[in-house]
Amino acid sequence: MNQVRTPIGCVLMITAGTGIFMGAHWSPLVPLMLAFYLATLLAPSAARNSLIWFVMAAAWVAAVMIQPSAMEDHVYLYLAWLVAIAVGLLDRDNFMDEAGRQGRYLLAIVFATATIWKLTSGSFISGAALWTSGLLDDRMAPLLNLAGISSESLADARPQVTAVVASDGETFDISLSSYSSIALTLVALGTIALEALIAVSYAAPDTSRLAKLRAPLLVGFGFVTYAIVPVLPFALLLAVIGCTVARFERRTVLAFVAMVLVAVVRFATL
Amino acid sequence: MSAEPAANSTADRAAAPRLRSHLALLRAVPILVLLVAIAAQATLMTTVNADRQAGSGFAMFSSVDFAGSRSVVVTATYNDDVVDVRLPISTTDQVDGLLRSPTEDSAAQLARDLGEFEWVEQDGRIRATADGTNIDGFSVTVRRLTADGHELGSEVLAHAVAP
Repeated sequence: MNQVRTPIGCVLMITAGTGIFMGAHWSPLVPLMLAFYLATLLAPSAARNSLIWFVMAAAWVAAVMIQPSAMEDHVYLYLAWLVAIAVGLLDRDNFMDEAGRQGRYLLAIVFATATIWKLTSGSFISGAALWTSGLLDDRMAPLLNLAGISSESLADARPQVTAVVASDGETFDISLSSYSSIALTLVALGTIALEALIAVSYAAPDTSRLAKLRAPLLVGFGFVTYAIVPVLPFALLLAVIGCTVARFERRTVLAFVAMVLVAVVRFATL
Repeated sequence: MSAEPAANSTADRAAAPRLRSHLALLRAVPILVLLVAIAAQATLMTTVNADRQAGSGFAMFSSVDFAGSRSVVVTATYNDDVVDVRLPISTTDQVDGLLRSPTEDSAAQLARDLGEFEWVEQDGRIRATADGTNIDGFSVTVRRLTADGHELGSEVLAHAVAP
């Protein structure tokens, strides 16, 4: 059990456990990931074999090839993280340094990509994308309600937007109050700023002042995002990578645990 | 956290420098895996209008256009009238595929496949039935939402008519 309670043991165990939830995207992998998780608990020495992690990554490559339509972006981050762990385990003495470095770059790439898509989308900056997402995804309702957009107005607009996308020449004006319009734009710009800062802080060297902002920014992102749309596998994955980058520093771990709990509570109360 | 267990064996330590030189190359692999996945999805999104919220794009919520906001509109000529078509449940996967990644070929395939069913009119639409009549000339159109400021419109992503 001592091996499980080390930073390496925690990284391996939580990553394997996250795979069980990732299995929601392709159920045949659930028993495999469950067995893998138990192996990291019951046979921690064996779980430190790099080859096993390459095999697990290969299993996810197969899943992505077999069922691409069922996969979402966090599955690809998980796949890259499995490979990062496999590479890190080739030099176990320096595992935490290597895994932390890999985690930094992976998070920087993910959040830089998300920032670029949003920055280049006029409909995101205007708030139209957030409004449309809220129209079609009830989980977004609390965010839109905070922006002064009632659930009733969304329900009224739904058939009209459906008609717009089903026919030629029809248009629909998202008539928002000044407050709602400004609020949605601020949410959009705030999201872009937060994601960009996360990307920059994780790309910055460990010695940089920005590096100190990594965990607070990522945890803040998780709190805001998963309190609205609780994607539990993604929350777990960001938490384990974030903790690895922070070398499992106690306060950071507690913050990430709280972030995951937010996702769990929101999911349970949907 | 307890202390890290005993380090690797002496033989492992001796091999470490050689391993580290190989690691220099391997270290790039995780990043390459992620970059290739992102590039592949970005290519699909910009060339064949693949769904922004699926795959490896990390583009969630970034646009009014995603599979859930698209529509597949199917019509047919029935008794000289153009009527809407109520799609059979067995075409659900095909329709989902069209919404996620609409192409002229997949729209044409759905239009042809609908010609295999028998149809009956009901409430101004036609629906598949076991003892209806065959119809030709199904029209399949995939449309997406567009936004100009706060004004929503739509445009065609793929269109096909079965001969």
